[in-house]
Amino acid sequence: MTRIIVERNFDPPISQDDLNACFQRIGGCLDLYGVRYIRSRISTDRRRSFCEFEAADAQSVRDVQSAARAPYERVWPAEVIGES
Amino acid sequence: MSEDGLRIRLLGDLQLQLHSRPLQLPPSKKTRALLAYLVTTGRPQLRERLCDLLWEGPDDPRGALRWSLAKLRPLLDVGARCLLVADRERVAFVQDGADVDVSRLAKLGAGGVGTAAIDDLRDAAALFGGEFAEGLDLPACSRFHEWCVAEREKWAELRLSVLARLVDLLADSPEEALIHARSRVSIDPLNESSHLAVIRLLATLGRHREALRQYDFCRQLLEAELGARPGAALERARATLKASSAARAADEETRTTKPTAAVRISDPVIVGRSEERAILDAVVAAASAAGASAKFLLLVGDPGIGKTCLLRYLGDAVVRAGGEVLAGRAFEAEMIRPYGIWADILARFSRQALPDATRAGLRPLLADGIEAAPNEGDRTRLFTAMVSLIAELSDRSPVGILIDDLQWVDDASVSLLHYVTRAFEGTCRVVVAATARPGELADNGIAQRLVQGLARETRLIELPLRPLDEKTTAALARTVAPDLNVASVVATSEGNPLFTLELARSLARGSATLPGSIGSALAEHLARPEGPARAILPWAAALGRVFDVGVLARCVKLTPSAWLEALEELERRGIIRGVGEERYDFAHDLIRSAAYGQISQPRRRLIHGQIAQALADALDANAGAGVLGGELARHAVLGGNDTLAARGFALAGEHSLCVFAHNDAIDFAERGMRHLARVATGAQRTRLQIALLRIQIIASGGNRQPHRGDLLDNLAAVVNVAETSGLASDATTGYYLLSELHYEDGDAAAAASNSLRAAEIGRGADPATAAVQLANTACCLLMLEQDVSRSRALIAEAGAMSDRSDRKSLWLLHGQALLRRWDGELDAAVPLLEQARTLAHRLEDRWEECRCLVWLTMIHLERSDSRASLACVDELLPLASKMGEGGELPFGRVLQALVQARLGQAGAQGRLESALDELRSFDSKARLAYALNAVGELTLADGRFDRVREVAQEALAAARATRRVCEAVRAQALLSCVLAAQGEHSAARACLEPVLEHLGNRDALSEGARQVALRAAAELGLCVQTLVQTPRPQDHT
Repeated sequence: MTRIIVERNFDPPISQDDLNACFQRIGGCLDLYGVRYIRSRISTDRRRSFCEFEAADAQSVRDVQSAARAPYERVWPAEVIGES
Repeated sequence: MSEDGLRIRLLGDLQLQLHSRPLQLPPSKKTRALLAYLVTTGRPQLRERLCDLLWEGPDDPRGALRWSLAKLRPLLDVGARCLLVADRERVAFVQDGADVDVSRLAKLGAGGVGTAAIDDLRDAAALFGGEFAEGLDLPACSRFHEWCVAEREKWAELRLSVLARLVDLLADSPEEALIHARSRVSIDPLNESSHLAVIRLLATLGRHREALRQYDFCRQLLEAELGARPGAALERARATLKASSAARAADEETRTTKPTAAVRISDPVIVGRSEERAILDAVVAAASAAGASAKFLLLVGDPGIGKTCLLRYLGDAVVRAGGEVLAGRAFEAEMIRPYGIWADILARFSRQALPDATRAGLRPLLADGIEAAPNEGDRTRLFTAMVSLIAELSDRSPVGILIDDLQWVDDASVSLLHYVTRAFEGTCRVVVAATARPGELADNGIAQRLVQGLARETRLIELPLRPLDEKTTAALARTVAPDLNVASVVATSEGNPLFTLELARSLARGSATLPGSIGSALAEHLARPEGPARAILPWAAALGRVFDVGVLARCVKLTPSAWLEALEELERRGIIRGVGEERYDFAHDLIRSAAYGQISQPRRRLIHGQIAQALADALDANAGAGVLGGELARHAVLGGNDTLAARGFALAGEHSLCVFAHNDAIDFAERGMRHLARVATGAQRTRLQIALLRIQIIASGGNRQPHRGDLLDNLAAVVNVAETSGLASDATTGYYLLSELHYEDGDAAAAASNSLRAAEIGRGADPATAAVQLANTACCLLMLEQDVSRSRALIAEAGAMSDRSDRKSLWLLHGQALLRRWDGELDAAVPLLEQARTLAHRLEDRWEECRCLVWLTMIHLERSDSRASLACVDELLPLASKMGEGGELPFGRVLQALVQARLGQAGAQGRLESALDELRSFDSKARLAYALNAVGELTLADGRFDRVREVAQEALAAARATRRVCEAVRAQALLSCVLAAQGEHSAARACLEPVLEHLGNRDALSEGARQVALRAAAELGLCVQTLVQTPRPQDHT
């Protein structure tokens, strides 16, 4: 399994309610696509976020975003450096 | 009744007299409320109960109780004994000869009003100086409030009985009867019989014109507040009046009445206060020069003494010095609005005027509707951002932070004020000033501590405002009318500026006698408006703060011209003043209090209830932007509507979370729960329970240990109810909350289980949505090549639901097409996908449109229709290029190159290799497996076995990584063919045999993969029992 990063941009900045709704939809699709959610980071101005998943490939994660209607900029496999 | 000894009056303003001399009461409202409670109940009360009654919250309630008792003891110390008896457990008021009005009336009520002597009834009527515990409204102390409301209703009912009986008994003395009849109307204005009695008495006295005016007033009131018309008895009385020839004499009567002088009320001016103004000027001068450390100015004084005027003077001085004023005013009714005054201060700033970093930090308080996440640490960001804003504003010119009525400022606002005051301790250009009523400040613990702390650090300048001297009082009175004879005004007003102005206006209007108290002066002032102005006054007073005409208009039905007339009259009389577009405020809080005090308790309940319903209706109609939960809660509590109160507290709690006021959020959630306990079971109660529990859980954060078991149990129980009641959205919220609680407990399995359950039922909304969700899931399963039997069932169910709703869904068409493909019915799949694609295009769902084109390209390829495939991919590529990564551009390029290679187009192989490299970088393994298998099948025909082996092995690895069974089978079949072609039959068999066991299960492998496996098996001469093709039943829906 590979770590996959999803980059998102929000203009205007995303509200907490919209973010929760997006994550709820994504959460509902994960099992189906064999994707495991790890964590997310959102910028303090709420315009950018990175979400980290674990999946067989980036396309599985893209399929989850698509199924959940969660917009994104890029999805790419990543190597983890520095995590204990 | 003895003239000596102690007299206690609870009906009207609370009064104590000893030997006929009034005693100075403690200014603290809670202390006076405590006295009222002890005297009325007349029995020992547990200290704990008294603390719950009046001092809820994290402060020291027992200490506050002890302090109040210490203030009361000297008042109840009568001769040899004290009437206040207290030990470690209990406190009691012992009457012991004290004359208490409610005790005397209780005896009358017990004996029966109908049998009481007329003199006793007269005495009783005289005892009713006003409503019970007038002015002691403490809506934040819900238990006291409920008890007080019940007492008020009880005494009002007795008063009405007494007055009605007196009117009956005094039929022969209509003048006296009229006084009591009018009192009855003022208490119960919606009772037609009260008005009828007044009309009849006026007719008896020959005052027909007044009687007709009384009828008009009653009619307007009934229409405005109840939407009702007068009853038959009133109409008969009116008809009699109209027909009477005495009406003409009544016209003469009114023509000879002395006209009252119209007095236009203008904004108050400052007269005198030269010493205080000098101090304020000096403070502003020091701030302008940044030559002194910031002090906190506190202007204290009784209501009407001129605190707000001086605060405005300070603000004007800051502006004259080229500075900026940040002014906010607190309202008693708004103490449950965290950061209320700061939000009002920031409302004057447009978003663009604030620097980006500051705006981000202040976002929770800005009116732009974007809320911040309630994370720990963001409160600090908010506070820091406010300080940054003030620092920037004060960089070159002074800034005045002016807070009016500090005693009513909410806790969160005081915390921020404290932080700001600390931040500007050194020399700076910031002036902080506030007004306060001295006794009431003691009821606001956190504000009191702020002031005491600043005093200890010698940073407080306290300016007590004393009554004006006679000369200044006279000068102030003459601002109303220069030639006024002000001697009586000076004598009566005792130097209170507001009272002086009211008296002066009364005199200027030609009143023969002056009111003896500020209360009566205001009552007289408020009695003057007529018609629509009089109708809206109680509603405006009940709103309790700066009021929006829009909110009023939802409650009081008037024509537009009547509205204009009403507002103009109230402004002209100086009762209200405009503070912005369609917003008004009372000219003074005392005027608002007086207007509110004139409303009977039953009517208050009705008015507050209607306001609460109007606010709730606005929220439901999505027209409630700006409706504050606290506002809804307050009116609903006072109106006795527990459901709306719980809803209001839930909204207030949500708002508190957004502004990091977590203690307030917990308090609101608890208060909401108490009201909810009285709401009948049902969907609304369940929804509100989950909402309030959610607030408690989030606000508690990590501090939940003592109540964790209760929270979990309560939440689990109500979520169960929500789910069985079909409240999918609320149950989803509840399950996610449970998941969070379990996660914190380290129970990952329970957390995951609840999370999945939430996702599962979250999809169960209305039938149309459910149909889409079912079809969506079916498509996902087919695409993932998993659980195909379940996808068949889902499509069948979704198809049935869509038929019922007469709507074909995009996902249903898509799912049906994929199922046809799975079953090998490629020709049937094409039109379904084309329909889906057309629908996706119409719905502007570009993602779905791309997917449909991808499938169409693949299916045409599998049908060996290269031209159709190419046509589809030629449409796909431009669309996909606009979609970013979601459009499957790399896969589209691979498909295009594949078709071109099949058609033998020049350069296609090179383009195919490049496209495959791109697809590898894109990390789309499932697509890569499909593409490589297609390349392998193409290359096998050319006899390039090494190449086939290479791509098949890569395809197999990619398929296994993404659990794509069909692509894995295709890859294995390819490898088997290569091995067989190279003479390695054993290896070929070994490669294929694991696949063959699945061939009999049509849901385990697609028909396409099955056929590839069968061909490979046939090549090897393998005999497979299950390879006999069986006809498939037509079960597509």
